[in-house]
Amino acid sequence: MKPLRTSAAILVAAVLMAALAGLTSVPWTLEQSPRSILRLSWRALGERIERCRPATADELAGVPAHMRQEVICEDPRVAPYQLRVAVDGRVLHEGLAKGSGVAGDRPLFVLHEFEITPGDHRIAVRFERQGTAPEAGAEQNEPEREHEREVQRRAIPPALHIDTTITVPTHAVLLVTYSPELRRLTLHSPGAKAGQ
Amino acid sequence: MIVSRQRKSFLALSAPRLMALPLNSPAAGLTARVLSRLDTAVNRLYGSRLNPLYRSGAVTVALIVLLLVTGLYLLLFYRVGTPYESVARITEQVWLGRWIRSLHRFAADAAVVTATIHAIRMFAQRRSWGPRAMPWVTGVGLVALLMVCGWTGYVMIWDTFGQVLAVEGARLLDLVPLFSEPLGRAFVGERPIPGAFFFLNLFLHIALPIGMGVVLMLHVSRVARATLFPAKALLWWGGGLLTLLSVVLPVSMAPAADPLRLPVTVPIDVFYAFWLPAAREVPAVVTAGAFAVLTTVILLVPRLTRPAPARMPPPSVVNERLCTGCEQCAQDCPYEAISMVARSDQRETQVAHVDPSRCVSCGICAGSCAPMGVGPPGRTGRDQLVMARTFMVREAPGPADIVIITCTRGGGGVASGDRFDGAPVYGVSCAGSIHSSVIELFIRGGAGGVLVLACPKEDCWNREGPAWLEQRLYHEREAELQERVDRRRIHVAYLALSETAGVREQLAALRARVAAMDAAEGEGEIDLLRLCDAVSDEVVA
Repeated sequence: MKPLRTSAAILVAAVLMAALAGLTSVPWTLEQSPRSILRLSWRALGERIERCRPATADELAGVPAHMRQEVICEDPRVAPYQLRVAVDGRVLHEGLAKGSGVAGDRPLFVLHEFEITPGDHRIAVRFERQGTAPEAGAEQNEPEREHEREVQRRAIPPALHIDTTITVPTHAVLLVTYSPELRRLTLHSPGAKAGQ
Repeated sequence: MIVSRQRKSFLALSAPRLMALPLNSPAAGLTARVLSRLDTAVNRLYGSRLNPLYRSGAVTVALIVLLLVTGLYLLLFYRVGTPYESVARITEQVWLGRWIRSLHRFAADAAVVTATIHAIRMFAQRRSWGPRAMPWVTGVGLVALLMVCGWTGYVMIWDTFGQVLAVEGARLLDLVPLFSEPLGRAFVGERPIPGAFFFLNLFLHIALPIGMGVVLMLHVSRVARATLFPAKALLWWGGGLLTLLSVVLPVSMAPAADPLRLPVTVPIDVFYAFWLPAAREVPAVVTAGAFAVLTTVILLVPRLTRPAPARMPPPSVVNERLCTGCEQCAQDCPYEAISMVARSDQRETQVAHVDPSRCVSCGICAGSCAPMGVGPPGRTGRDQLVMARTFMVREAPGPADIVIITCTRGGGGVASGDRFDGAPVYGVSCAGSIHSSVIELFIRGGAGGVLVLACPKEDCWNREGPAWLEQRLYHEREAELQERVDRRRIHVAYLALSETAGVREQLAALRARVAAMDAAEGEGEIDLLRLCDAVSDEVVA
């Protein structure tokens, strides 16, 4: 191979290798402007709504002995919750959160993101159950009533709210979430300063 | 007028017509021309033996093996409980860690490049339909697995790029109504990312290559003697260059992922995340739709590029009366389309049987059969001899003439004309399909020499055509060129489609050689005459 061709071969190989190394790590600017994010995210067991009635003799006879239940609950659902988000008094979101799953009887999930400018903001979030809580049926026996009470205890409170003023740093994510331990909404942000 | 009719008849049967069959896609034709020029340039610099474009598929496999080896080393130090910290430790502290990690990354990127080149080549060479549809579809599957494997690899690091990739991936997966909880919630910062997530990610990163191995077996299941690795020289050069790159420009750590901090600038790997910037700007359903459309179109390539049934090259057929059961065609078939089965007549030997679903009509079996009993209709050895005789009648080459037999897919692209530099051109669909009797016919019919132009061995569209041709001409592989043919009058050159200058050089060299031989033989005759005259004089005296 002639020296010129050898030089060209080495040069081309070097350029290709450099391109490979360069393209493996291309700086990509995601945030063109200073902004921050208000993120709402939680998973919670909502209050259950279901219609219960005593099983008929025919229904009990139709199932094996070990599967017989004296009370049959139909159409179980999770109560819908109204979510309202306001920043500095301006409502950013207002809508219903319903139980997940096809039947709507699974936990409800909240996941929303709102763009906000860095700086001081008053953040107000309300999450309230719609309608009234179902009473334990008189026809239920004690174990079933206890189970019902346990389910309601694990459910989130009928009303949750957080209303605070906070200094939001640039490119920070302000996270509002539900704490099952504290049974209330909490706010997290790196470097944010809570106000009143 | 008669000659003109003969010419037309020849064209109707010969390779150019067959070559025109799959040229139904202008995109494929244009891509083929661009690739050919690129091949020529790379051949000039590195030679065809070291041209990675020719062996892009095998190079991809070699890169995946390199990924496995380097990945095993990295696996020793990776911790699912502290993903970012463990990768940082590998990069900064572990012996060879930084370079091995860099090599792993560069090999992964190079694999995407070579796999893409391989797919483009197959598309441009119209090797994507009919019996090749299955390799095409499995090839698409391999690329998809490679991409997913790459994504899981980046998520493993759990830096800002891994975070963006994971969030976008979760956004797409959340479109599938299978998960009880939105996957995206895992990355919102509500709670630490569980170790189980990184374990699952690591499991996928390891399991997917195993799946790739299975799909690769399917990918090459329709070819005989699959070339899974490139030539050693290419292997060493390629591996050496990537290693050198890893040492000179090792990869560094991006900032750690932080769900509660918006990543401002992210170092993105273009090879695996070229789609990410656009995907972030549109709803997930648009991205998923674009992926679905793109995948569907690519998967439909075998159907879209398939010629109409009437224009489809027919599979080879066997003339049982002529077949001696020697098995040479079954051995030579690059696609394992020929098997030996029991005969229907009374002879003891077996007979060749062509599986039409595997036959790509390359015609290599026609060149392998000494009694000329197998080949695509119109291109068996006997058909070739008929066409060659017609050609000889029309061209009537003299002792000073060189006949060019050229593959229409390569050979410097001279097949498009009747003549090249004054030499008559005889086009064939593949150099490996030429029956050696055709070459003998040209030499014994009066031509001074025969220049056979094949594709580079590494880039035969029918995989093994040039290799079998060479064996038949010079190494007595059936159906070998008879010993009575002077091989000094034959030259085989391996040239890409756009290496026309190379044809000129080879033709000039063969012309000079033939002329020198003729001159030497002439001088020998003169000497003999002089000697005879001297003897006569002595007798007279």
